[in-house]
Amino acid sequence: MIMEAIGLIKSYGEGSATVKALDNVTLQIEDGEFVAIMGPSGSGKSTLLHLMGGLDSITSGQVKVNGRDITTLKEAELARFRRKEIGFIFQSYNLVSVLTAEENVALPLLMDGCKESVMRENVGKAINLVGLDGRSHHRPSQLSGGEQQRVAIARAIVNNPSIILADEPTGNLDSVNAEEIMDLLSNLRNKSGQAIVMVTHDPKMAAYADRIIFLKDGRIIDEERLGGKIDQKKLVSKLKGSTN
Amino acid sequence: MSVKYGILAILSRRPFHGYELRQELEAELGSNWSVNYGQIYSTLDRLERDGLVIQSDTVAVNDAPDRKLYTITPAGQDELNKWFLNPVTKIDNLRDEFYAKVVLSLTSNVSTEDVLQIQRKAELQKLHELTRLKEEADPAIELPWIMQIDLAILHTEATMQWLNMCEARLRKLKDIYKQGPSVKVKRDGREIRPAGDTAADITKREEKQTARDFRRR
Ligand SMILES: Nc1ncnc2c1ncn2[C@@H]1O[C@H](COP(=O)(O)OP(=O)(O)OP(=O)(O)O)[C@@H](O)[C@H]1O
Ligand SMILES: [Mg+2]
Repeated sequence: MIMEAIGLIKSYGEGSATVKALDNVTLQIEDGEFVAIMGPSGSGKSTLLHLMGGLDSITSGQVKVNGRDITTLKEAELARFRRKEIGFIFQSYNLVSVLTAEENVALPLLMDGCKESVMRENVGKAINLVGLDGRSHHRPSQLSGGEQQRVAIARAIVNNPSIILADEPTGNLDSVNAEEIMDLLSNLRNKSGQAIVMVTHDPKMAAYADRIIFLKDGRIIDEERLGGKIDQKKLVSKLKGSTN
Repeated sequence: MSVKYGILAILSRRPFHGYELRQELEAELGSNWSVNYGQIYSTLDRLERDGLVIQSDTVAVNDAPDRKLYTITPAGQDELNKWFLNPVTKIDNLRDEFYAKVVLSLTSNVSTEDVLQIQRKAELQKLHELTRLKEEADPAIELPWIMQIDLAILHTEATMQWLNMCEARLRKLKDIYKQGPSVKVKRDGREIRPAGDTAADITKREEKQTARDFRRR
């Protein structure tokens, strides 16, 4: 198990204006597992992802990564933990506009005071993995949405984190680009064994996952493990049949 | 859709005479589901044979054309619940059978939200398999096959969007009921139960009331 959330509660506001965005959420993510989180708008999906990644304070409960409780970490420790263990990918890419693709990818390493030679090697590898070799000196404004998201993915994996947290990573992309990003994510997982937790509204994207967790009103209402429950042969013959 | 489950769902509300069932089914599901009396009675015979309903003779009232009253048995209720809580897997049946399931569940003792969620999970399993098939296909030589899978994926996605819409509409309806007691109205001389009282009925009623109040001033 790479990550565990225990009895997570998150409230915003005070007194009568309190909103309970998360209400006692407990879940486990296994090593190398790909989990999708689905649920209606406002159900707390982004909040959950932020708490799992130590991006926001927890009202009560615990988040453990590799057995370590991150809720007790001080600000500076938490920042170091995030850079080492977690790769974030957002719907809006969140790249630094004045830096080139390569420099954006190098950012987490720079902040950790990484050696120049190691940095070059790791950045080159990450850029290559996401298929952006020819584009490394472009600025975000010179790249398409799909390419910018590839840069964001390269940045998320450059530290070789144990878990990738993605919030609607394909939300701004057309179907073909979205599919390429999903193929990329699922290949990365297969190659380097990183766990992925992805929030999505889109069932086409959730279908890449091993397991789906359904949130509603800040609670987990259901979950489903994907694979093996459907007769693939029947499905294929049905599809092939309908072409003739 | 299968007449069998339609009849069981109607009988789960209260016992009915055979001749009433046709009318009830059509009122519930719309005229697309119209079935003839022959189908109703042959289905009732089979249901009785399998112990899912029992019939009893009653005293003739109001010139009723038959005196047989049908009642669902506990085994019939079990069978019905099983139908509600299992996803529709035959691709061709989804449109008809699943629609019937959703509508009939509204007046049954199973939760329509559960019915929707169970189908949602089945559709996600199908999407997962389709995605796997697509990943395994070679775009250089199997393009028509990939395009065929794309189409199936988009159909599944449309179904899932429809599930989301059903759920959203149910939530809206619940909010409406929270706001006040519902009044029984007559439509085509038929009494509408609260669950059949749509948002449109309620708005229309409110409009009428407002119009009346306005004239009175
Ligand atoms: N900073 C904040 N201050 C106050 N309330 C917040 C804040 N962030 C989120 N919320 C509330 O918490 C609840 C959950 O929000 P969250 O962003 O996690 O939903 P979500 O499931 O990601 O929705 P969407 O699908 O629309 O992105 C919502 O009711 C939201 O209004
Ligand atoms: Mg969100």
